[in-house]
Amino acid sequence: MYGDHAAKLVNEAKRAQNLESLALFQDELIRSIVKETKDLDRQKDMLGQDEFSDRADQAQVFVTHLCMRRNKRCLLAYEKLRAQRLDQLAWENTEPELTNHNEIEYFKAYSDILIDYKSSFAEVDLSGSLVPPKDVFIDVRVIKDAGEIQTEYGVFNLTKDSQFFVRKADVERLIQQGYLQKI
Amino acid sequence: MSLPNSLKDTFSPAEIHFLTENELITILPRYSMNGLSLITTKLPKIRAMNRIQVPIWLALILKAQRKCNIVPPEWLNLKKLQDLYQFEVTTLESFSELPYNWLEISKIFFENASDDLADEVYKLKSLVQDLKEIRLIKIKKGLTLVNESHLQLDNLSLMEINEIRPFVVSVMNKLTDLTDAVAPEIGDQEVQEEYEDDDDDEMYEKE
Repeated sequence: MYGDHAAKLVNEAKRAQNLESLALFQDELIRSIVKETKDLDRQKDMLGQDEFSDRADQAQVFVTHLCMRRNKRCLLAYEKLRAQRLDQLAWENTEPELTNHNEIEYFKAYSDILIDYKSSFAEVDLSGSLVPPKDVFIDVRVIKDAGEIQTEYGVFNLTKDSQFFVRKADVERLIQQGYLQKI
Repeated sequence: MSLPNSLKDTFSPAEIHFLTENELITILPRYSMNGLSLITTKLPKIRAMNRIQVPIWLALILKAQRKCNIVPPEWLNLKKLQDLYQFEVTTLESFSELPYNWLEISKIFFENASDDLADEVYKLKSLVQDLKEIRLIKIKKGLTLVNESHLQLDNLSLMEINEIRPFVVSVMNKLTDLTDAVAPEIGDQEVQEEYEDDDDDEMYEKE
């Protein structure tokens, strides 16, 4: 039946929603949906030629049209979900592994917009932690050797398993990047 | 998106704690400090041994440095809590009058300022726990009354509301949708049709 491929795609999107990482782009499936839609379009054109005389023809044109709309809806839902995921990754500042060049372009463009937007609020770190601050100073332990690291507020010598008592604002970035662990 | 899904419709407990920290509380300072005018609040001039109201976050910083004692609110003592508990037990339809952030305030006291409480901490803790539990039971009973239009939740604290928010809001939305679907208003129908027309136009343009 028409729409079966599209249903598969939507199921795939639903499954990917709960995944940690971005799922692979369903190239094959999407291509077959687009092909199906094209076939339907051709079919509709052929039916439309004889001036809608027959009631049966009218019904067929209508149903063909509905099938195409259904396909469109499924494709858009899939892409929208992926776009949302990509936006989120852009905010988290992680580079996804993308195979579809449209998506690569989209991700780049969105990241550019984001950088643009962030630079207009220089004094606020918009992509920083969303957990409200509780303590001014915290203990941190180094879990990854990183040598000397220069932060905005001074120099740290990060040797593995050493411990620091530092201002939270200074090390938030390093915690995010996985060098430090909060105690 | 910019906001993770977990934060989209509700507060995290950390955020509620943060909101609570902006409330004022009375402290008994042990040293003097000049006032400060910050961009969000103006900190008053603090004089040693003079009671004064300051934001909770400042009280906690001073407490951590042992520079003040925090005065417990009037409801945080054995007698008052017992009265409240009695009220909860006897009145099954309503919740006792606790401040909207009582859970956070009591937690702050138990964790950071347990030496400032007049009564034994373990007794207070168990009373607070009892209150929390009986209120939770009442909330659960009240959930049988969830309907499509309204719900009355007098004296329920922010954290308690926050806990049931995802469930209650989604259920009420579903119920509203169902009720609307059974008896659609004329206005709604028109909007619906308009919307579908739009959709069609869009599709033809694409083609």
